[in-house]
Amino acid sequence: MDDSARYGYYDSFITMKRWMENRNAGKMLDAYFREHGYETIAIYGAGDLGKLLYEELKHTDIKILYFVDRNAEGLHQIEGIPVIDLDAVAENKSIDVLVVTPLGDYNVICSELIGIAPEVPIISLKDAVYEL
Amino acid sequence: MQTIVELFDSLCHDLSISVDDSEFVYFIDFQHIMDAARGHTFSNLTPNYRILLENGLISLKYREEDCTNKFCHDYNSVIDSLCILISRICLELDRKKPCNYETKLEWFRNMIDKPAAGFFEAIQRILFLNQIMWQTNHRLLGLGTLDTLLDPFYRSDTAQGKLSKEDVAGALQSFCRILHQDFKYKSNMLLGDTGQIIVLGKSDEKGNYLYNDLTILFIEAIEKLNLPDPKILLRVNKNTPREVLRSAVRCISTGVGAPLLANDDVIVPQLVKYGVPMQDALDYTVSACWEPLICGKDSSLNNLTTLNFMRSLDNLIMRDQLSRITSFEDFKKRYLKYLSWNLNAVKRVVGRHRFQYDPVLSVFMEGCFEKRKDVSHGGAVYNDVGITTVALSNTVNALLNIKEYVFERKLLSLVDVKTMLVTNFKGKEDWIPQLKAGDIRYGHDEDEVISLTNEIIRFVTEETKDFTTYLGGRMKFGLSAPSYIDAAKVFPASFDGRKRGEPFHVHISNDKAAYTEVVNFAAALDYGDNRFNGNVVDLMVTPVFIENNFDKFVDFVFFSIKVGFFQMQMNVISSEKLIAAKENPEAYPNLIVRVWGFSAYFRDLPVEYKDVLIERALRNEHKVS
Repeated sequence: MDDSARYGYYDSFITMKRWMENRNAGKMLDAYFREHGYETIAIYGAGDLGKLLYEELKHTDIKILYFVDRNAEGLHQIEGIPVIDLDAVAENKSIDVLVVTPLGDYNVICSELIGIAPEVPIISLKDAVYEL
Repeated sequence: MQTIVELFDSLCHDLSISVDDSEFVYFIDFQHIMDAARGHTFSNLTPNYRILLENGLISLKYREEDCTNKFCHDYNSVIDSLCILISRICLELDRKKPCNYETKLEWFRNMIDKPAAGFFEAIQRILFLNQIMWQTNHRLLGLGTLDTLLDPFYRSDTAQGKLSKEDVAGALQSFCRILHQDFKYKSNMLLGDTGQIIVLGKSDEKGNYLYNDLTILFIEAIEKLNLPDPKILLRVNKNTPREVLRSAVRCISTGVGAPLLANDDVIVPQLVKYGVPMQDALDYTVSACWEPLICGKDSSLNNLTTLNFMRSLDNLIMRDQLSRITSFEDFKKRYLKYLSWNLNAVKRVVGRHRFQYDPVLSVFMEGCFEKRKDVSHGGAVYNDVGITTVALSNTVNALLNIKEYVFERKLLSLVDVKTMLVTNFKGKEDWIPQLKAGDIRYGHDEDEVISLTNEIIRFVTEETKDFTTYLGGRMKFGLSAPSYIDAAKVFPASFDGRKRGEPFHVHISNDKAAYTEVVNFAAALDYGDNRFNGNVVDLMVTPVFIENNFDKFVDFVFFSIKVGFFQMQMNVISSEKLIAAKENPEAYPNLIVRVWGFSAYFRDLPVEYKDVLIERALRNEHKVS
């Protein structure tokens, strides 16, 4: 395993640890999103972290309008919520924020999004978990 | 599993003792560094050397009937173990009979049950306590106010004719060389980052300046030795005699990067306003680099984490509904909101921090004995916590650019700014020079810059003033941080014209502005409340400039003290020499530069640190814009 992969796992571990600490302390991410004025969100990444985020938010008043995933064609929808390609955000941009769950890809996704829908706000899940 | 006290006892029985013909005994057994790995070890502080100078170890113990808790027993056990180590050192001295061994034997025997009797013996005790702290894995250890501590011994020995000034000068050089010898082991993040700081000079309650022969002798020792470590900090005030300032400037002009100047006229009142009693405030030293710390009474970890001011601005630009922000006032309010969220993350890091049980340090930290409490349980008189901050300069400049180009001249939208930053100014490189230029910038003596800077730092106070640690300590912060390169390495571009990965600005600096302007700016910043955790003006100066203007430069330092800088340090070196040393390090093996808050060999620095120094020197010499 190279250093960047090792760091990636470590980063994921710390983020998950903090997420769990938040939950144990009764701090849930819906409160974070509300405080930031994010009522409608999209989740980038329909993998493990994306689904965990969805599970935490699905019974709250934070509306998840869609997932964004590179495998949008394969996934199509999750529990009735559409999964779209990043390119399609331009037509579906009425969200308050796009939450990026692949922790190591945030900067790349920012760069891609700026060419597609520069006005769409974007946040890393890691930052939300850390700042809660 | 062994308890900490058992571990320390084993250490005192097992560590390898080395004595030689050096003037003093000092050794660290690297095979037996005590690492209990049970939590965070205290560091970045100065133990109370005075305790060991004024007492024999045995007299520090609790009487048996006063041992009312586990800590008291552990405290006494630590002293017993130290006495065993001292006995072993005595046996080794007697066996090896190195130069002057009989005197050394007496010094160590006295340490068990008598106060130090003379100047050399006092130095030996400081070295002994220092080596014990390193041996027990306390890193970044300060040396304290040595001119004050050693002065009674110096006066007594010289008055009795036992010592000449020359003897003392030689002893201080030996002392510094000994402290320097293990600098590679002692270094923390970078080679030279040892925290071995000697604090000289002080003020009294009326603002008189107090210094003595040792103040000057220490400065001269550092000047002559030309070693990066240990380093010195000279406390100054507006009554500092010209003789002392001349001595300091002479030392600084050698390029050794020391002394760092700390202005008592600004620092002491801030400590007092924060609640530190005047007598303690007058005794302040600093943590490893510049964070004020009450000598021997203060276990505050003053650089626990770093707040990056630019992080909040980047978050705002990336995360906010930018189209809803219609004025700079709105934008600034949103920035402060994001800053408060960032501070939540900082508070979380600080709040979770726990220290390892530490009866060894507790013996040499005032407050623990009286409270019968370990330093990790809040035994020290002061138990605060400090953070450093980075990128305030870049952030203020970026905010001023946004004000001008987005809200006043309306040449760009906030989304345009966001696009520029995410794309690292791709196709918009022509904007960079104008974003970096301008007369109203951090470091300039302009009301708008000063007001914006003060508004931001006062906001941090508002957000942190109610925070307390598990020990009841408060949070302080300052405007200097060592992380101006590391925090910027993977940080996106910023609207002060900085491209992705380029370093943030160093401390309080502006290499294009006149020295007096930077000092005026620094003096106008509000260091009140909890904002005194190190605020260093960092200057680049060419050797020729000082050579040709020595007296004027002393005048400048004197003027700057009166104007009211908090702290000031400088590199005296030319860009030409730095460039040559980078290209041909073998030709400049002993070239010393000032980095963060310490001095280091230029050859030992990572290339990005070399480049920052070269670029700053070039800007200072007006060779680049």
